[in-house]
Amino acid sequence: MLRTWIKIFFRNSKKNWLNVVVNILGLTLGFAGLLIVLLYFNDELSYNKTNPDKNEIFRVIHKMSDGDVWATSTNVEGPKYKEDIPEIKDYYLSNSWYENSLVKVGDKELYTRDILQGEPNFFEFFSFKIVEGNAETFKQTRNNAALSEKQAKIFFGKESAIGKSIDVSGSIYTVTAVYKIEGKHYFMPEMVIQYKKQPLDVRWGNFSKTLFVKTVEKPNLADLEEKALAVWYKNEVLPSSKRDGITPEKFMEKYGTTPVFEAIEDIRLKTISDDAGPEGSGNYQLILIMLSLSVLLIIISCVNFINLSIASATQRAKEVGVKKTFGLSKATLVRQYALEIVLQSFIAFLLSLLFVELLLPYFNEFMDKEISILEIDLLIKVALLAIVISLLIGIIPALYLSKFKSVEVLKGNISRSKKGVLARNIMLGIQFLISGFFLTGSIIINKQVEYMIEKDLGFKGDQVVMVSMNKYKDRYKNYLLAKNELVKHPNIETITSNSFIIGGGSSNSTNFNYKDISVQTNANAIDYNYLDVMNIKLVKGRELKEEIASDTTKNVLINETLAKALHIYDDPIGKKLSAGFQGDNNDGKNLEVVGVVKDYHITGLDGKIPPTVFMHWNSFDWMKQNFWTIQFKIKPDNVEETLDFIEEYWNENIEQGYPFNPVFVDKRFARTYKKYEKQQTLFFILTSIVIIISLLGLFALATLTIQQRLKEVAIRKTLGASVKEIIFQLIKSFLKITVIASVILIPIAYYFMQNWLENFVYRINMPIWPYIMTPIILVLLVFTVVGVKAMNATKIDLIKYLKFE
Amino acid sequence: MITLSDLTKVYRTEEVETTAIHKLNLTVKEGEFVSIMGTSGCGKSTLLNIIGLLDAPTSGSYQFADEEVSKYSEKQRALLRKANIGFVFQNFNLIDELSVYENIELPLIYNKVPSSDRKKRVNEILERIGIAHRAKHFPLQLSGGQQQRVAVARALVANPKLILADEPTGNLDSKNGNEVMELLAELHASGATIIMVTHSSYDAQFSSRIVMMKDGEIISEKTNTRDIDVLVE
Repeated sequence: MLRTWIKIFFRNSKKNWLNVVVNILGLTLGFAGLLIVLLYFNDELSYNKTNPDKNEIFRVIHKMSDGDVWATSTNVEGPKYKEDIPEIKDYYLSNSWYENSLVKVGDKELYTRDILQGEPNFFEFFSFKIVEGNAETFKQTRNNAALSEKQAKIFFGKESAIGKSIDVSGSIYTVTAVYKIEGKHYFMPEMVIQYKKQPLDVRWGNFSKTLFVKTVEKPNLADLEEKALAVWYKNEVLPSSKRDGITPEKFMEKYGTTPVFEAIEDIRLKTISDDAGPEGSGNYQLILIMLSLSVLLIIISCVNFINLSIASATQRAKEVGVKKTFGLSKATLVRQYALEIVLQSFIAFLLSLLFVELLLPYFNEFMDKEISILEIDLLIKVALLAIVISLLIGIIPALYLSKFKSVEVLKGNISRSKKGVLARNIMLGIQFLISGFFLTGSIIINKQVEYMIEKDLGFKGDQVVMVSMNKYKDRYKNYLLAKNELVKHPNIETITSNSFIIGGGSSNSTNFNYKDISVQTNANAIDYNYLDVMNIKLVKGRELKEEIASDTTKNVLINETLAKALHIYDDPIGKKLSAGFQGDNNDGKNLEVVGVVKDYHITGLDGKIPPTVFMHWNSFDWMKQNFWTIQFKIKPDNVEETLDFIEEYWNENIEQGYPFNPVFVDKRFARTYKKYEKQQTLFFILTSIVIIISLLGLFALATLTIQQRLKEVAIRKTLGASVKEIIFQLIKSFLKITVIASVILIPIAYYFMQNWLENFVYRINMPIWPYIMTPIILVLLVFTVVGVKAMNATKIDLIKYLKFE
Repeated sequence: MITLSDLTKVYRTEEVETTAIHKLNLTVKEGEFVSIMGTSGCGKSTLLNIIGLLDAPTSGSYQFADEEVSKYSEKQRALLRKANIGFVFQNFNLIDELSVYENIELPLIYNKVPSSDRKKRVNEILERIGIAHRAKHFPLQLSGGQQQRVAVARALVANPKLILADEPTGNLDSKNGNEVMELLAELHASGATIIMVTHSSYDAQFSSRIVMMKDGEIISEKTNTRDIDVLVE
């Protein structure tokens, strides 16, 4: 029996090959989409899952009185929490980011990435598997280091790493442990080293590290946060308010800090700060959207599958009639058709595996991931899901088919069932709606990305190369050295520096005050020629000049935003500001504004231009710690040669052994679009997939309805309807669905795209025409797909349909 | 009105060649009511389809109202058909989704009759066949006889030169069948040209001439002398 069934399936498939292909293709896309999203979701969820203490480890972040959430912590709070809050058993304090540094191993110097420096008890919070040495010895003295297996191999080859000395930018460490990272974690460093002494900066305002705490089992979070806040109150709010001469309440309101405890498992996907650690953050919202979208896609491909199956089933009505006449039971029939459909969806599932496997490398590259399809648990689940789905979509057409009354079928009378027509139309409408949404969204995203690329950023960076400083020591001295030497090269026009990284932001901010107005301001230390080199305009006053002595002590420039915020925009020159920091040669209380700089972008267009103050490096000597890059303005000819020249000099005189990574400033800024360019690509892909699936659905439904209306077509044709009239008659209902979907689409797309556009401080106005284009494109697609089907329908053999059916 | 000479129709499939009509000659004058009879597969339906311009002959000549139409393209045939020929089928072939009124209106729409005129003509014909009270009903709500009367009304509404009926009583019981035949006879009496395919010699009695076919050829023809008093009712 099974053989007969399969034989019939294959012969039928041959006859209806287009339907079978469309069926399988639709389902393949649906499965593949779901699989990829699930793999991605699975990977994102796996962060910190394998940490045995995950329920007791929390990251401490801080809500500021202005609403910002800072992911960083102070040095002092950890020990105080441990002291004052009995539920907190321990804390781990470390740098927030990995460092890259030259490491001397024997007589080799190796540039090493992903070094984490922190307190000795790292392994008590991140209990990686120790493959050599042990975690206990590691924390005994602050001179110990631990290496990842990979790093140990790089440093020492096949030799054991234990007991060996390494020199990390001048500090000597002894390797006492080699670890292997299994699973995904908040920190996944290649090397763990320790602070040589306990961090001593006891200021409660210096947020520069990452703090984890370990609590007792099942802590009461609200209670803990309240106790932590009390610690802040006692140690910071009370003394500081007294010093400033205001009430503690007033202080809380102005500078208050509220600690928040984030469960380690939630950080990656759900952190309320903008930083989920050096391993990056996951986009929970995106995952949810993709997940619901893929579920929707699979539902839609199932509905399409059912529609098309029923359509082709109608053509097989006779087979059913004959079989029933021979006395086959309904159950047997249902089983046969269900089997056929299960077979198709099984093929679709296998194809989707292949598809995903082929697609994953691109997906990984795109998402910056290393996802493998070999997630056996997940595959089994999806396979089970595929079976359940195929049974479901198998049974409906099978029941439909087996319901045919044998006598009527043999006579050729199949009445057209009105039931489900509405449901089908709604499903098709939803598909159009989704396609329309993605189409509109794509157009709007394209426009915004285009706008970002073309926007005048306030500076010119296409001839300016940025070179990063890696070594900590003597950055400013090296800069002056390089500046004097390299400028002699004919293709190097000028050399300059500032403490901002265009496209990256600033690393320093404090409050600047004028009278009683206080504004959180980014401070940019610059060289005299910086603004000139970058073609940044001045709107008022003058630039800082080398020959004016006070320009290196107390004179500053401010940008338009700061001038406005301090309410001195109309008459800024000569105003005296006080800063929240001081320098060696000035107390920061009497900074005089000598010029106003036209606003220019330093972060991406999704961030506001911050209030900014510009001063010379020498005004605040400690700013030289924030010396990250040197900028070279070079001539456009022989760029390669010029860069080679700089590199050679760099490696010889400035930073031996470090990588040399020159990047043009405009390219560096363009990285800030990357996220949105990715969204653009993602939207484009999704739009294509969704439209393909909708077209398949349209194809299926058109096949089905036109199949059912062939007799009507024959009658109309006999009565003299022209081809045009018949095609219109057949397309009419589809056009109606398109129009309704397009109307419903407008508010939905408007809402979501408006929301998306609000991500950007600098953005296009919501355009109207995508909402007009989308329906037009949809109608054209309907005309194409249904039109072709309808065209075929008008070519039917009149006599056959007039006689029978 | 219709002159067929040496008309031949051959169906070809990949393996077999079937001659449905072989060198057939037939003339139908205006105002005639011709019945075509014969066993299943004798080619009578094929003949009717060719006469009705639903199908083209393989060879031979077909003159419709002094016009040679055998070489017409499908489009030309469609134009000629909608202006000149009304069809009545065994299985009525009404569109289930349209009301009685709308079904009857269709040929007028396709003949581009203006809508005010359409209304008048549909109502007229509804009255004439006595089904006006059912105008808003849908075909499946009517009896078989009523459905066939609607089909006849639809065939008539555009004032065709020729009415073709393919076993019009085949799906009806004798009472309903009789009603339909009487309607056709009445049309004939008022001047319509009708060609009907039928199995029933009783039905054939209503016509003015009976043509017998076998294996694609006409084997006999006889003129009906019987007088039917169709106007009595």
